[in-house]
Formats: sequence, C-alpha cells, structure tokens
Amino acid sequence: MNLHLVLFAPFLASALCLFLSSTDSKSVLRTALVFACAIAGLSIPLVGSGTIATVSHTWFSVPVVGTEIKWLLTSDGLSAWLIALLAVLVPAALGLAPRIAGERLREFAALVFLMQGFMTGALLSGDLLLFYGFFEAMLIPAAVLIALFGGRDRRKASLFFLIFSLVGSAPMFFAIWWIGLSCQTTELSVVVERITTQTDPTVRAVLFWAIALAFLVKLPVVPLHLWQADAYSEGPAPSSALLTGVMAKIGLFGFMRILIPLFRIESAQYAGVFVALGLVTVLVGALLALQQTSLRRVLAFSSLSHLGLGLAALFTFRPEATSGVLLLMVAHGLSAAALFLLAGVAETWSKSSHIDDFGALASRSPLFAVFFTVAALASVGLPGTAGFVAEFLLLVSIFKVYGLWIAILAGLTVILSAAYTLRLVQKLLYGSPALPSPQPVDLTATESLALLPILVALVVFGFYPNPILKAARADLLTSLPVAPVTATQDAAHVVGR
Amino acid sequence: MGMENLLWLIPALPVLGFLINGSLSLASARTHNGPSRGLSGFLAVLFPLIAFLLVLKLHFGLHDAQEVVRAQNQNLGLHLALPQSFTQPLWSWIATGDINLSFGFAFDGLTSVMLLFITGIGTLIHLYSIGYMAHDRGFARFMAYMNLFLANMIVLVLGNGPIVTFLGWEGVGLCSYLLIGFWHHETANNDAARKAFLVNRVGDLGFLMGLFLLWQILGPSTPLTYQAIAEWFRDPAHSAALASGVVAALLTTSTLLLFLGCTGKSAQIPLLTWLPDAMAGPTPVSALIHAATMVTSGVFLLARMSDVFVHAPLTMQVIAWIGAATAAWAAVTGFVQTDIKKVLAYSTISQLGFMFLAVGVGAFDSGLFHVFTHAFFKAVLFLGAGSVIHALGGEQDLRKMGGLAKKLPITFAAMFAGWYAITGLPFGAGFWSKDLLLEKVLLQGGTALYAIALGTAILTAIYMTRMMILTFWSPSRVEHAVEHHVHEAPLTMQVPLWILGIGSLVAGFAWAGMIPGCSWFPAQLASIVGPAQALFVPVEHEGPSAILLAGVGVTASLLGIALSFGLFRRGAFREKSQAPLSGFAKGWTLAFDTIHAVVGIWPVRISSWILEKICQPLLSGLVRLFAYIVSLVGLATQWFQRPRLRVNLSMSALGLVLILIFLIFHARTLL
Repeated sequence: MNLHLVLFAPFLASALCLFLSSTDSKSVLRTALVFACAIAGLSIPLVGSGTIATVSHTWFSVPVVGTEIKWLLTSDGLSAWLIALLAVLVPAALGLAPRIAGERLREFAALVFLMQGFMTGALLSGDLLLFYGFFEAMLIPAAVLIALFGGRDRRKASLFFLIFSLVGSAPMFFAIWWIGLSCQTTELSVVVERITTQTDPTVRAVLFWAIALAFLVKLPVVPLHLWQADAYSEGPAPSSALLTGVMAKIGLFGFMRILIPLFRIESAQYAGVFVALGLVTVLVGALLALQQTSLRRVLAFSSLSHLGLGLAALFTFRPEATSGVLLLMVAHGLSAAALFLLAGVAETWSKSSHIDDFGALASRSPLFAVFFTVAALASVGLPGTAGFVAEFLLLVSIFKVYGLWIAILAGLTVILSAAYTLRLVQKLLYGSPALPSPQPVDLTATESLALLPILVALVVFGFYPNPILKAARADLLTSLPVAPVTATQDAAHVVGR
Repeated sequence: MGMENLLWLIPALPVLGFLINGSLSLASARTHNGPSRGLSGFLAVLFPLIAFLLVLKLHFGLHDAQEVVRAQNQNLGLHLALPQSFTQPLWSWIATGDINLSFGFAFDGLTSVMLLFITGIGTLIHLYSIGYMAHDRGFARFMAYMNLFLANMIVLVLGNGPIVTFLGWEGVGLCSYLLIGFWHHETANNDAARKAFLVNRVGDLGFLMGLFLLWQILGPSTPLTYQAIAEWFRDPAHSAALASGVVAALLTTSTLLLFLGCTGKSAQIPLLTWLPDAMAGPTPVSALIHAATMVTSGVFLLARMSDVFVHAPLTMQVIAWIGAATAAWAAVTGFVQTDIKKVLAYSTISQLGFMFLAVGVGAFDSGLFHVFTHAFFKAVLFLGAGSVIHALGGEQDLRKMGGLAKKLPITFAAMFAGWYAITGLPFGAGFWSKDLLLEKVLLQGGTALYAIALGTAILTAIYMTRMMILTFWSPSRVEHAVEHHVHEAPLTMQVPLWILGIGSLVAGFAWAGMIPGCSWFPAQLASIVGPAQALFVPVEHEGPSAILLAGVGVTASLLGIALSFGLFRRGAFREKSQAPLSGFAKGWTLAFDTIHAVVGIWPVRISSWILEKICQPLLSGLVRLFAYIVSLVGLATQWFQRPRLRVNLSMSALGLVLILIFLIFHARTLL
C-alpha cells in the first residue's frame, strides 16, 4: 500500500477544492464527496496490509549537533483503523455540511480535507518531529473551521481551543528537541532503543510528563477539558464530529504509539495517576453531561466521559485493554460523530441548540429519529453495537488489575451514560413539539446515505469486532512499526523520494 | 443430526419480522394511515408462529435423539450418556488476549420449556395485538418492536453463555423501553420508559460485575458457556477450592451481584419500582413483556446457573427472603390500587417473589414451574384487562367499572379462568404450581418463610377477588356515555383469550405431583437443575404430607376469597373518591422510589450541580488567572525590552553580585 498516496491525497483534494465553483454548492458537494470516497477507497485497504513502513530518509539534519530528522511513514493496525475511521467520517461530515456551510461549502470542504491530511500525517508519522509537525498543524484548519463557520461565540471558542492546545503541546516540542539531542535522531523506533541509555531517569520523568501533557489536553481529561465543550458546541457540527471522532483519539493514539513505548518504566511507574485521571474524567464528564442544557454540550461531555474510560483502561497494560481501546476509538468515533452530525441537522431545524427547543422529532422526522436512536444506543454501549464490546473489554481489564470496587466505579458510566443519553433522546424525539413546524422535514437522501455506513459499521463490529481486536495486538504497546532496512517493493521509490 | 443447525433461525425469524415491519413503518411514515394493517399484522404473527413450530420440532427432536441413544444402550448393553442439548457455536465473538468468547446457541430442556411458552404465548399476544392496536397509527411500528422483543427474549434463553444471554438481557430492556414509551407524545410515558431502562441498567451493572467475579473464580481459560460453568462446578476436583474461604467469599459476592441483575429485570426488592410505571405501555406489552416473559428472566438465569448459586448458601438465603418480602409487600400494595393494570402489575411482582422464594430454598424446578403456569394465567388476566379497557374506550379505573360479566361474557370467562388459576383453587394451573412451591418452602426453607408465603397466598386471593368484584360482579359504575358502547372484542382478541384461558386451567397438569404420569415438566429440567438441587441442604427434612398441605393451601385461597367478598361485595368498596391515589395508597410502594431518590438520584444530581455551578467556574477562573499572569509577564518583558540604562545596569550589577556570592560559598565544592 502506498503510504505517501494515502497521506497526500487529502492535501491534493484540498487544493483541488479551491478550484471549484464558488456559487454552485451542489456541484461542490458532489465533487467533494467523490474526492472523499476516493480517499476512503485508498485508505481503508490499509487495515488489511498489516505493519508496513516507507523507507526511512533523512529529511534534514540539524547543523552542529547532527541530529537526524527522518521522513518516515509507518502504519500498523492501530493507525490503519484510525485512518479508516477518518476516511468514513469525512464523507459523512461533508454530506451533512451544506445545511451549515451554505454558500461557502467550497472553503469548508477544503478545510476539512486539510484537516484530514494533517490527521493522517500524525497517524502515519514514524518520526517524533514529523509527528509533532502534523500534530500541531491539524489545529489550524480545525480552529479556522470553528472561527469561520461556528455559532455565536465562535471566535472565543476557536481562540480558547487554539491556545489550550498550543500551550499543552509546547512542552512536548522541547521534550522532542531534548530527545533529538540525546539520541541523535528523532526516528521513533531508534529513539525507543536509545532513550534508556542516553538519558538519565530524572530527565526522562520530565520528558515523560512534558509529552503526556500534550496528549492529556488533546484527549482531554479533567481538569484540562475547558476548551472542549466550547469548541464542540460553538464549532460547526461536522467539524465537531471530526474533532471528537478522530482528533481526540489522536490523544489516545499518542499514548499508545509514543508515550508508552518510549517511556515504559515511567508509564508503569505513573500508571496509577493516569488511571485516576481517567476515572475522574469518566465520572465528572458523565455528571456534567447531566447538567447541560445545550444539545452539543451534552454530547461533548459524553465524549469526555467515554474517552476517560479508554485512558484508565489503557494504563492497566492488559492485552484486552489494548484491543478494547482501539475498538473504543472506532466505536466512539463512529457513534459520537453520528450524534454530532445529527445534532447539527436538528439545530438547523429549530434554529436553537437548547434542548428544550426540540421535541416530537420521532413523528415529524422519522428517519432522523431512527438514525439518532441507533447512534444513541451505540453510544450507551448496548450489546449488539461495537460500543458494548469495547466497554466490556475496558471494564474487564480494569477489574482484573484494580479489583471490583474500582471496576464498579468505572462501571457507573453504564448507568450514567444511559441517564444523560436517554434524556437527550426524550427531549429531541419525544413529547410535544417545542416549536410549531409548518411541514414535516427529514434527512435528505444524501445525508442518509452519508450516515448509513456509520450505523451499519456500529452494528457489524458489535457482532464481529475481531478484525479490530486482532489489529490491536497485545504487543502493540511494546513493538513499533519499523522502517524496512532494504526496501524493494515499497512505494517510496515510486513517489520518488 | 441437522437439528442443531436450525437454532439460529429461532431468533432470526422475529428479527426478519422486525426488519420488514420496521421498514414498512418507516417507508409509509408520510402517509395518513400507514402500511396495511392486514399485511403487517400477518407478518408480525407469522414469524413468531414459525419460530414456535420450530421450537416444537426441536423439542421433539431432542426427545427423539435421547430415545435413540436409550434404545441403543438397551439393545447393546452400553452406558452412553443421553444427549442433553443441541448446540450451535456460530462464530468467535470477542477474542483478544486470554479472552475467547464464542457467539452461539444451546437448546436443552430448560431452553425448550422457556421457548415453548415464550414463542407460543408470544404468538398469541401478537395475534391479540392486531385487534387491540387496530386503530393506532403506529401499528406497524408496534408490531416491529414486539417482534424485536421476541427475538431478544429468544436470544436471552437460547444463548450458550452468560454473555450471549446479556445481549438478549439488555435487548429486552431496550424493547421494553421502546414499548413502554410507545405513545411518546405523553411525557409521563416517556419518563416511565426511561425509568425502566435506568433501573434495569443498575441491575445490569450488577450482572456484569458478578460475571467478572465468576470469571475470576473459573480462571480465564474456562470458556464462558453455561455448559463449561456447570461442568466446572460439578467437577469434584474443584470442591476443595470452593470450600476455601477466599473463593467462597468471591462466590458469595459474585452471586449477590448476579442476583442484583435479576432483581432489576424481575422487579424484586430493591429494584422493583419500574414495573408499576411500566403499565404506561399498551396492554399487550404489559402481558407479553411485563408479565409472561421478560420479568421471568431473572428466575431463568438463577436456574441456568443453579450449579453456581447452590454453592453460595448465604446468597440462596438472601434470594429466599427477598422473594418472600417482595411477594408479601407487593400483595399488600395490590390491595389499594384503583387501576386494573396496576393491580395486575403488583400481582406480577408478588408472584415473581414466589418464584424467587422457591429458587432460594433450592427448588429451582418448582420456581420454574410457577414461571410456566404464571405465564398462562397472568397473560390471560392482562389480555382480559386489555379487553375490558378496550370495551370501555380506554378506561382503566376500577371505580368506573362493574357489572361487566354479562356485557363481556367471553372476556369474563377468560379472566375467570385466570382468576381461578391465580387464587389456587383446585386443579387450576396455580393450584399445582403454588402448592408444590409452598410445600417445598416448608420442607426446605422452614416455617417462617412458609408462613409469609401462605399469608401472601391469602392476600393474593383477596386482592384478585377484589379486582374481579369491582370489574365484573358489583353493580355497574360505568359512565353513561361509555355504557352503550361497551362491546366484546374482535375475534383476533378473543381467540388468544380462549386459548390462554383454557391454558390457565390445564397447564398445571404438566407437573401434577399427585397424579402419576403427570411429570413432563420436571423431566425436562432434571439434567439442568437436578445436580444443584441434590446439593442443596434443606433447613428441615420432615413435614406434613402433600395432601394435607394442599388442603391448607386451598383453605387459604377460599378464606381469602370469602374475606374479599365480605369486604368488597357490599359497602366497603364503594370508593366514592375519584381522585388519583395519594398518600398512603401511593406512597406504600413508593417507599422504594424514595430510597432510590435518597441513595441514587439526589447524590448524582447534587454532585452534578456542584460540578457545573461551582467547580467549572472555579476552574475556568483559574485558567483566566493563569492567562492574566502570563499576559502580565508579557507586559513586564515588553517593558524591559525598551532601553532603560539605569534599570539594566543595576540588574546586571545585582546578577554579578549574586554570581560572586555563589562562587564564594561554593568555591570549595566547585574545586
């Protein structure tokens, strides 16, 4: 599989979008969907290709100290499934964008593709500095999307999001710099081997926390979560869907791909802190979700809560937790994105985001109601959806390592998530309509088709999650994809690098 | 043997029905009437009916397979084990690390008994729904949900292990949610639906945690199937481990948590509050889900895992006492209800208490037998009540009924059969199952439990008779506007009433202990609950004869009926107030609502309020403060950037002095 093609296709699509008509938004939508589907066709096969990498090239070396920065793309089960997730969510986000972006769909699509490209880059990077570059770059299109297409407080939300993320990841930059100086390279698989001998324990602890901070903010965890609810509720719904669907997962991905393999001793040493942070996030997120009165703020805190469980389970280092976290990322990515997208549609109908301003959509918009119900049920982890298997594995791993009481504490999410999600379902779909609507409205055919794969995938992986579980092998946390020493068939040559 | 390859079809058929009716409903959402009632009703009954026939075929197939082996053993003098089940492992569901859970089905005696009445009575209730829901715009949607429920219920009992059961377990919870809130324009209905789901989820968390603990005892290498679990506990090699304190404590915790799951699904103390509210759903739903099938799944699970529970004597005692307390509590509550469906709801809770009581004293088969007979008579009572409500144009208040026996003769006859069975009059279904149950309670549980159970039997007779008097026998209090519209239900509703009415009279002969040859029921279960029952150590061993106990039981029923006539036939029932229940009559059951509020709901609400209103603003204040400090520092640096000779010089001098001081004091260490 040609990793460079997978990486550059979204950038190409983004650039091409700028040449589209600025007035005919229908044709823009059609073309953008074709691009998105083509990218999906390119990147989804990655999940079947196993562990692959391009040839490692020296991108540049730092003068005087001679640290080599590599241009290296790697992919294994973990990144492949997340890229596939992204590839499924982008068409859905674009399919539902016309309601929100209106005339400026062209710019919207270009920014979404740009974001997809940077996220793909972050997921494929086999070099620390390369990763850092993509990791920071993906903020820019996201922040611009919020600032351009968001709601009333979009400027503030966008700035808050940007500053929080940048401040959070600034220490990571210095950590990577330090690692580069000590290890003479920033290539991930080499750094893993050298870091224990080249740095002393005190420095390693500082480096560990500097990098951890970036991912904790990205995830986010309580108490670093303040940016999230604003960004998710003020930004345009499709970008919120991508933020929670994939970008938040890059935080978890960072733990799995970078932090734990690099700092195995420190990870084990501070595991308790992360489990505690995860559990606090689970409970605080769920409790806050119960209090929200704005539709997408409920969903934002719901995401916070669900991903907290992933963090807590990840630091049990159980093999089933590794599988479970990947499945959680896919399952939650799909269900949360679907909910955000649908919430965006409902908001355009009622011109409000307050949960009391909806109601009776089950009789007014039956198709919408079915989609929303299925996504909500997947989000609460009903058996038969992928969310259940993920939650089950995460709770098992917490139970095995920390015992019954901590597992019950984590398991409270089973009850609380049902409480806030069903409250939302009731406010939206049932009761009497809050605002009189002149005529019945529902999802359009394009929108339904864009969302359908998400819901089908949720059910399919609920009954047959093994491809994902197998992709996240038990040794994923210890062995990294490595660049082939002598590449013969790899696509790197074709691209000409 | 191709039989086992058919198992997947039993749940798949109703799923197909769900998909077809669901699509029909969705496709015709914009039309005025919705899809053809005939078509979607036909499909909705057809798939459960085929499933029922399939279950029958498998039931006899299993019997035949056993006969073949038995004949072989006889002819050839062999001692081959009889086949006890058909199993169909389908695919590996969750496989990672040392976890390997398969998705598959297993059909044995217990499954067969459960499925026969689930699909059989289920089909009848679907048929009934065609008439009952005929004028509802959501007809196809209703049928779709009912089929989905049936599929989940089938998965619950047919699953080859607790995880597959859990799939059905939560699935029936979902369908219950959808059906309680079926008329979703009423906020009260939606609240009731949500409450049912949430209370059940509390139990479900217990189920999961109990399962994790059980898994810990078994070790990860044991596949989590019922067969493997039973074999593990029956294996003599493990008896020493089971006797050790640590494992025993784990097992007690595990079984108590699993039982918590059962109290949720089966509406027992402490999670019983949702069932009375669940009566907000259409009446066929109450009959199918909240009386005949779903609520009995707790008893089913205990019987399924009888080998596990019997090793936890403390849990068994807890189950028995909770069952007895729930039975008595709900029976007293049934007394003061004015809504016909609420009477039946509390009656269901009370009867479920009987079943748990039996299980708790180690009489798993007897508890299941009461599940079986109860399914018939409670279904007919609910469907009869539905027919009354239908006839009165939606009226559910007992105070506005009366004198309906002549106007609704068929409904009356059917409900009379149900009443006859539940009060335990001779040779009705309840007579056999309840008397057997009471006998087992006395012999294995002791006199205290027996006394409670017998007292509850009297109460049952009183409140059920009260309901019959208020509905059928007392002078009519039906409103005049309604009175001349009173009509008997259509044929689709009558046929199920007939069949179930007859069933409530004869179903008890499946295990009529006093008549030789009438022991079909226990024979089905022997291989599943037999070993556990043999292990159970009863409290007392001797007791009066079965005939005498049956006499006592019948006397109790007659006493209750007589009391009820004395109390309600004449003046005492003339409840003039038409106001909704309040105070004592309402609060009586809601004690548990209050407990839930104090223990669960308010702590959650308060902590969530504190987080939102106090912690969040504090945190964002802190962030603001931090930002403010940063910007101040920024300003300060800006100030320094400008050339200020005196300040810069003095600062440099200060730095120089500091360095000198440092050098002087640390010169030795540096050197």
